[in-house]
Amino acid sequence: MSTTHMLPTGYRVHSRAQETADTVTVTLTPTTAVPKTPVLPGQFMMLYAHGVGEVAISVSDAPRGDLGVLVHTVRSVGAVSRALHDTPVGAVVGVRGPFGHGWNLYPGGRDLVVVAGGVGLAPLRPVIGSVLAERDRFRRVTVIVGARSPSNILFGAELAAWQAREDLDVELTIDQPVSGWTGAVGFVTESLHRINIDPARTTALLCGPEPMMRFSARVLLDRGVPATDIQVSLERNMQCGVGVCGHCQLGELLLCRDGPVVDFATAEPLLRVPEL
Amino acid sequence: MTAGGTVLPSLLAALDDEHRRRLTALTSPVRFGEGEVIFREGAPATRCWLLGSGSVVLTTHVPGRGAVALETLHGGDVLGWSWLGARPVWQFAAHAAAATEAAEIDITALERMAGAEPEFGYVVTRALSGLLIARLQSTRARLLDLYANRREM
Repeated sequence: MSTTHMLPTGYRVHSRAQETADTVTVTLTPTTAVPKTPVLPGQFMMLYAHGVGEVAISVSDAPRGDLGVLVHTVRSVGAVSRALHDTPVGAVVGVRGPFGHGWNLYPGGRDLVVVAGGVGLAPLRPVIGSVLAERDRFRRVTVIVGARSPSNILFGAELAAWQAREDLDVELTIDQPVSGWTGAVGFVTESLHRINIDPARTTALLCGPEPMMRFSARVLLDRGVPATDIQVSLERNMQCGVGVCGHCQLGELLLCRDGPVVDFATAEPLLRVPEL
Repeated sequence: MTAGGTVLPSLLAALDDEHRRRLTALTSPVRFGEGEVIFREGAPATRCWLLGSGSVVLTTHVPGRGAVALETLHGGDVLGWSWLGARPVWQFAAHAAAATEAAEIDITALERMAGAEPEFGYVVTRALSGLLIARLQSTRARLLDLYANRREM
């Protein structure tokens, strides 16, 4: 366990991009020398707003693949995330990590189905980037993105660029009908029912609200995709990040250490227990 | 590009070869141009379509908001369920959001065949029910408003 896991390192807010009314993407650069520790899609960092507290935020891009530059997409939903969301360019926040297991894209040669709901697109964004960087390693790649309404869509320009690609099937669908919206209206499971799936050769990556992942996984199971080939990114009360404090326990899992990405064969029996 | 393209309509995919052949015999190909109205709310519901490609939007008129999209259907989906109701009139309106190719089912012939051959009717009803349940469950999931803001952990 390195010091980057225990002691916050100062990172300066290098840039901010307002994604929606309550969500911002920040690029952070270290104020001191940092080790060349790899940062993988699906992993998270503990971001510390000085004097307010820490919160777990997944990396939403990995421009260098290590601690040299971090990109996080922060949605303001409470005191800490609000403070991080409001941190201006030039200010310094604390960072610990990286923590947990990321998405598993091995073996290659398979179809990928990526399902993202709401801010759940953020942890999947770097995986889509890495897939596009090695596009030949995969067969058909389908990305299904659900959002509450058009004004809540993250990474709009990037989504448009993905939709324009011939080697990527992208469905963007919103929950709440809005006048003037010409895109699709419906829940992500409707897209999952419809798309072409070769169940024996499909790896599915799901990230979003837990019920969305459960419902989506059930459709994939119904379509023959094995639970071991479905990965979900789970969230609990991450505190220490190193599997010590126990706040993020889900059954026998400590999600900061054993997650946040877990295969559905492991997750499903645990998610069926309301007390967990 | 968007996911979909031309796919086997899900209703046909749910049937075995023989039942698929018999149902297909009751269909005829149709094409809707972009923006074309397929049916209007309140009109008699006499048809049903298996969408092969393209997309169709279901709408309803809301005073002050105009025609509001309720759901978008794509290749693979079934369009038109109101004919199954006790009072078969369209509950919503539908228009093609993009050029759409579909197979139109002759509902009268389907009901006649299902009445005369209960096994065929049962298999088709089971398949339709499966699709209807999937649509219902997705709609219920949407009602949860899962992407709304929630508290920090």
